[in-house]
Amino acid sequence: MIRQLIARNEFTQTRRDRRFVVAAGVVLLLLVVATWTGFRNYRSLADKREQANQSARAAWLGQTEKNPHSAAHYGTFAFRPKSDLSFLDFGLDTYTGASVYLEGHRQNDAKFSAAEDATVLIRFGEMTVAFVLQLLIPLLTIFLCFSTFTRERVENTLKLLVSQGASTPDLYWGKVWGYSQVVGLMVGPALLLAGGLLFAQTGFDATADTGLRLVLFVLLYALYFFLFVAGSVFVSARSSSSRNSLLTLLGVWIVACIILPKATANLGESLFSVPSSYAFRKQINEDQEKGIDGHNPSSARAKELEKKILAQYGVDSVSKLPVNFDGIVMQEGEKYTSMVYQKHFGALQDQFERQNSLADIVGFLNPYLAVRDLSMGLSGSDYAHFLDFKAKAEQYRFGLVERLNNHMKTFSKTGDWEKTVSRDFWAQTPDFQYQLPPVGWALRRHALSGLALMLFGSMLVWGVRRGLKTVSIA
Amino acid sequence: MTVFWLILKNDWLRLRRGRALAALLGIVLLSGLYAFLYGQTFVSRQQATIAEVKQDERTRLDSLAAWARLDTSIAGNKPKWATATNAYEVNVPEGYRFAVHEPSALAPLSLGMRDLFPYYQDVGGRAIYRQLFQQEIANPQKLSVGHFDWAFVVIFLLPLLLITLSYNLLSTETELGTYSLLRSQPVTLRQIVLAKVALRLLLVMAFLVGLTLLAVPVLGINLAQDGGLLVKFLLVSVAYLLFWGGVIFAVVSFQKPSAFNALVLLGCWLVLVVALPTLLQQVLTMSQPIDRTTFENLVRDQYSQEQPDSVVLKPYYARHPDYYFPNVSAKGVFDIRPYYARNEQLDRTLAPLVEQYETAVAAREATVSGWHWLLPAINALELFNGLAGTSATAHRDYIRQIRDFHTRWNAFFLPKVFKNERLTPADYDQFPAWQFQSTAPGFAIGSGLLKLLLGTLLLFGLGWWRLNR
Repeated sequence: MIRQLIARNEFTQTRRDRRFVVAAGVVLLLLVVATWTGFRNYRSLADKREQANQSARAAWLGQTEKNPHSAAHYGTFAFRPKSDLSFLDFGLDTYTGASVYLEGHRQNDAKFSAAEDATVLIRFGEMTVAFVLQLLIPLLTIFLCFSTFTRERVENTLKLLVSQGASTPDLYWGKVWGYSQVVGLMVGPALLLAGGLLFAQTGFDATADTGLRLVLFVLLYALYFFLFVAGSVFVSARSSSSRNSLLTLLGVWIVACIILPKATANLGESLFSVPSSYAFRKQINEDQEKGIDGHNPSSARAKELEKKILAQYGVDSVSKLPVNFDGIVMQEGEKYTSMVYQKHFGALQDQFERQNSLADIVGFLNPYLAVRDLSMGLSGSDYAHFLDFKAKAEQYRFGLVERLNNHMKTFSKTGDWEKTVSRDFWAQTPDFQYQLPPVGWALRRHALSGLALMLFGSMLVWGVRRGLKTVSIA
Repeated sequence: MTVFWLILKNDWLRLRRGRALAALLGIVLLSGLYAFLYGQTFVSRQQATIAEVKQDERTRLDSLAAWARLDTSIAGNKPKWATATNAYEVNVPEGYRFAVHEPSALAPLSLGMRDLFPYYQDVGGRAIYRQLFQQEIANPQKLSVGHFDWAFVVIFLLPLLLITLSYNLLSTETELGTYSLLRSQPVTLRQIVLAKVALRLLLVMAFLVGLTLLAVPVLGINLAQDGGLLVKFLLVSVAYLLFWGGVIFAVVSFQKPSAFNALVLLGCWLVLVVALPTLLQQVLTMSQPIDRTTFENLVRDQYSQEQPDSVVLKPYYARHPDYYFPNVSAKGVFDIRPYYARNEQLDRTLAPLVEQYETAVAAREATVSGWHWLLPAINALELFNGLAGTSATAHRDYIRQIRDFHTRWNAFFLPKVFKNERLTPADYDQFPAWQFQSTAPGFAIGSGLLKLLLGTLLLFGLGWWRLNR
């Protein structure tokens, strides 16, 4: 009862504070602008990629008659569709390639990230909803709460409250509850707008998965804000003056939200080095030439394959084979190069994940990092979702090239590169359709950050309970 | 005047005794040292790769040159000699060169866009637009977070240091009850505030200059060669800090309580360094969109492959009558001439697309520089990147140099290809070589600096005017 009274008092007082109303108004405006611009950018990117996927398919279907292997060289493109929630959190989408060229013999990396055509501004970040929620709302929370105890201590109103029978925890949790409502009031409208936009664009027919992602997104930030409110009010309770409280909180904010994210990423990159693209290509070429183990050169592999196929068909020369030997050679080559690419791309991705894991570990001490990670994951704009797209595009590429090579094998004779397939053959190859993995998959990828956040939250509540015992009210 | 110095001395003693100064300077010092270390590691990794590709090029070209001198009366030498004297083989698959974007001496201080763009490129005789637009391997998460380099320390952290040292420079007198004592002295409020701001500015600048000078031995900067650039770099940092001194002077002149000042100053920092740049970035991607989906044609080799040789060659010879040698025949060997004609056709098709793209990016940059007045942080970072040769503009200039080199490279080989002439060992000394020209030495900082200083002047003017009231 008394806690609710205290909460109501804080809520009312804050609303009457003109400085706060102005600051909150600005943040709310930024949030709405971020939602709107984010949504516009998202729509235009999503539309362009959708169109680009369609025109890539049209180009594939409309290509001239050629032999199937030439078609594999002609290749096609996979453009990465934007996930529904990515307009709330661009995550790494600006920095990951938007399309993959799918061709025979080779696995290409995704190319043409939006960051490459950005100006120097990109170094300052992007004003997305996630940016406002992760950086600015905590700062506003600090402004809101830093003097909540220290001011009352100076004004001697705390004694008054204590004489009414309020205990320190009553005071503390009452204030936390009051300020949480204020933050909710600030963020609520923008999130409602975001939800409205999201469902309006799908004709209010969004999938359950998208809905669930949005709900978790909201819950995640609710927890994040709660941590900041609880922490700020606690610092205020423990501080001797408003000034000390403010300096402590601002210091924490700068270290947690500005310095640590950069430092962990930079240190991660320095600790776990990746090859240059020159060395990477060289290693792949060497593995193809000399064999993945270095003892199985391509010439030996070719001879072995010839022996095996001749024995299989019971003939003594390639020309007597009833099938096109080139088709077989190319498909076996494809399998081998795929293995080589998988090995090197796999090692590279592992190394990137090792670099990123530094931020995940620091996330146990810094909830900002954990929330950033989870938020990207829920929005489908993190590295894991990008890798999922790349893996599925590669799967599709391999299937397509295999189909073309196998067709080559059966429809013409060895050495015949002139015979072409009719155009309707292109239509028989399946189209590439990317499906976003379900939310459960995303959560498993970020379990560590989830754990970090839970642990941090529990530690904070535990620390607060302990710390409150020694707080002097007056 | 002695009173004035007394006040300053007292102020200095108070600053020195407070734990805040030492702690803050310690944090920023560590950040600065880490920034040097990081910048150095980053650049030396790129340099190691550059050394590797240069070694690769030297080995290839040296062995080709040796093959071109082989004695062909020995049968075994024939294939090697044939490769090394074939103009096409050396021009395209075997003798390609690496065009390297050498990091400047100041690159470790402001790494700029060096992680986003490739800094070496193999250039052969193929269509140039099929070769450009490579990318270097980079962790997208790292790219999104950006560098912890010296430019970051100066632009993001030093203003915070200055704010923390100064937000209460006047209000603390009121809060300690010494304000009336101070006002009873024969010095004006303007003098006091200006002197206190100047003291803190001097402190931070001494720190800035000290660390920048420390960069000279740490990063191995050659003063005789790059001293001028370093001085310019320092000038920009000083002007940027002066701007923040102006912000502080203006805010303090309103004579509000410490907590209020701290909030307003941090608000200024937030708006100028964080909110406005990110907001502008968002608006820019919306108002000046760049569509990269059209770039697929740069990747896919589909143009003009199905046209007969004569159709491709006819307009080619019309453009290059000096390559037309009707009496040269390529009997018995694969005629390579249509290959070059197709390459050029491809380049001609793609050139407008690339030009359109580059114009769009330049237009975005023009919009950003129009905002420099309001965005000192962006202004300063662009000046830093310009001086370090790590800006997007520097990258575009590098790409232009690659195109020029490609033209020179082909101009050397193509007459030999079309005449069906063999290369001689003497030709190997005449091969066009890559020579990178950095844009950094010619980078002008005048107008950017002026914008910073004008903002500073306005802010100090505002404070001066307010303090008289």
